Amino acid sequence: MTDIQAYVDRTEHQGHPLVRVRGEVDMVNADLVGDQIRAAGRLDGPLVLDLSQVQFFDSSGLRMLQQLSDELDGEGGRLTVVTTPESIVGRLLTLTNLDTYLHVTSAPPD
Amino acid sequence: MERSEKERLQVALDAAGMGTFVWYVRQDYAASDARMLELFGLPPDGVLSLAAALSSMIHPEDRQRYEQAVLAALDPAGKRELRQEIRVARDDGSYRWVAVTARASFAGDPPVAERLIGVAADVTERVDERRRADELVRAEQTRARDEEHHIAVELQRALLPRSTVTRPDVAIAARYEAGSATLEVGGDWYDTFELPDGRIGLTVGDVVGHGLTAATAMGKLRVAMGALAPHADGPGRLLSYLDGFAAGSDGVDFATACYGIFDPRTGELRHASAGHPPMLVVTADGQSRLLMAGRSAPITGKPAGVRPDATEILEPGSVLLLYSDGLIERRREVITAGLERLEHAAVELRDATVKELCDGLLTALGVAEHRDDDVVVLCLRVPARPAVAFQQTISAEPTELSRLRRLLSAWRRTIQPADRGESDLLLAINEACANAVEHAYADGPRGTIEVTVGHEPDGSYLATVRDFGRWRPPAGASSVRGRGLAIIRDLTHGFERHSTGEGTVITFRLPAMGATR
Repeated sequence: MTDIQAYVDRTEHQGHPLVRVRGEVDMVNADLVGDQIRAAGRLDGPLVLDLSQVQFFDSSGLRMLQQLSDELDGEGGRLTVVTTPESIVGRLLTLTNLDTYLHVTSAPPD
Repeated sequence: MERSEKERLQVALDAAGMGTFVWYVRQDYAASDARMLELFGLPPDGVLSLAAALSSMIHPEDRQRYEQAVLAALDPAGKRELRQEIRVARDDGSYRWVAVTARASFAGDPPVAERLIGVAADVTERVDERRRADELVRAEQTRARDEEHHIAVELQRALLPRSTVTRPDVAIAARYEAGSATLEVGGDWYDTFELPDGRIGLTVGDVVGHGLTAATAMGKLRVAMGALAPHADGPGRLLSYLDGFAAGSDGVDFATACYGIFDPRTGELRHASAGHPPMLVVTADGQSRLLMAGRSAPITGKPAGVRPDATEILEPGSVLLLYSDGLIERRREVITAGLERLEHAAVELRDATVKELCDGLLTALGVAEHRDDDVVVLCLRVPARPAVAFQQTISAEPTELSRLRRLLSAWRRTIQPADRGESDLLLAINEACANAVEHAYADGPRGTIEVTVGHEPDGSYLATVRDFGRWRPPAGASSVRGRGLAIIRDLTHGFERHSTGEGTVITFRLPAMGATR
């Protein structure tokens, strides 16, 4: 029985899809969240992923992010992750140096 | 007047751009030349009267002044002269400055004013120039005053301590706010001392008065306290020593001070106050109390005998606040209102870090908006009671991780509020358990994972994660779990992993927040 929950929804920002994830992401639901992002986003253009309201994130989440980024690169798209350095995602990206590999910003790009 | 004389006068008037008039008092009629009429925005055949000038032509702000000046000139006991600069409206709605100079003539006994004979000229450019000059002078005066204030504030900061005592077991922060730019510096101080027996001395005080005299007197008292603190047997005794010091020191005519000696091992606070506002204690569960015991008269340089002190036990996790009266006093308000405001704000802010608490109090008490005086606030957090260790056994299922995180988070919040250290702890434990879930029981039935976390006296968390399985050698996708272990290594100190036939034990330590890794 699991009570872990993540919510994925989609809005538009400057004409591009902005996909927002809230809640918790760990080894239970990382792949599921990844699929929901694929369904909500678009893999052949810029995709902005807002993780600033994620409450928990771990190495499974990082793997999911890396896969998404690789897929987007393959399709000629581009992944931008929105998070703040103080948040758990921001801290993880810095710890693992993934912030140099992914495009990370603290606000949706204009 | 002869004709040639009259002509010469007209030349002079023309050259000066002056209009002339003769105003008949009783009739309120001004016989005016064309230039006079033009100055008042009238055509050459216009009629000028005082009533018309006061009702519409003259700028509303100048009307009353002009009317009174005219009446004064008509007073036979006065100077019988009119000299006024007034703004007069033009057709386009703009105003020009017009200087009116006139003399009154009188007839009869007692004398009654009959006429005002005078000249008027447009002086707008001269007035504007004068105003610009005034503004420049004022700006320069303001700049000089600001600079003086800046120097005084710098000096005062130099007289205050550069830092407070830094220890792993007790958090201390202090803030000094100078009076706002229009005010002088004051004589508030704060300081903290590490005493030889491991206790901590804390003081806040206030030399009454403003300016450099008060600031330098404050510097002397503060340094004296630091020098005397290790030798004084208790806070009352230290304040008594200050009486003697103040008697022999210029500029210290009247000061208030409080001093406390805190023992982090027992939570005991000995405290004394010489006319200073009472220290405030706020407990972790939101109870507050003002320390009203151990009080004596302010320091005036006269012998005050042995000053009393008092003893108080501060609860684990509580906050001790020392402050100057600037924090609680507002003009036209009784002091109890300020104390109530302080207690209320401190209770609200009690879970914040000591630095945030100091800043939050300055904001909550409206120090920036209502500042009549300089302000000091000093905050100490009593260490939390050593907590019962966290112990939990979960089955090695992925779905157990979120439950474990919630339990761990709830346990940690009994020790300290949520902060970045909480997510670090949750993350490290989560990765260690995820590792065990993935690898420990790959070849057999799902076993269990035991998690133990202790809160150490230095504020760090010591964690042990144990499984009872056999680790399968990492396969292809294991780089991900490798990353998990790397994350633990980066977040923690002293990461170790031991595998035996009985299982695997991972241990690591999460440093206290604010401590350097």
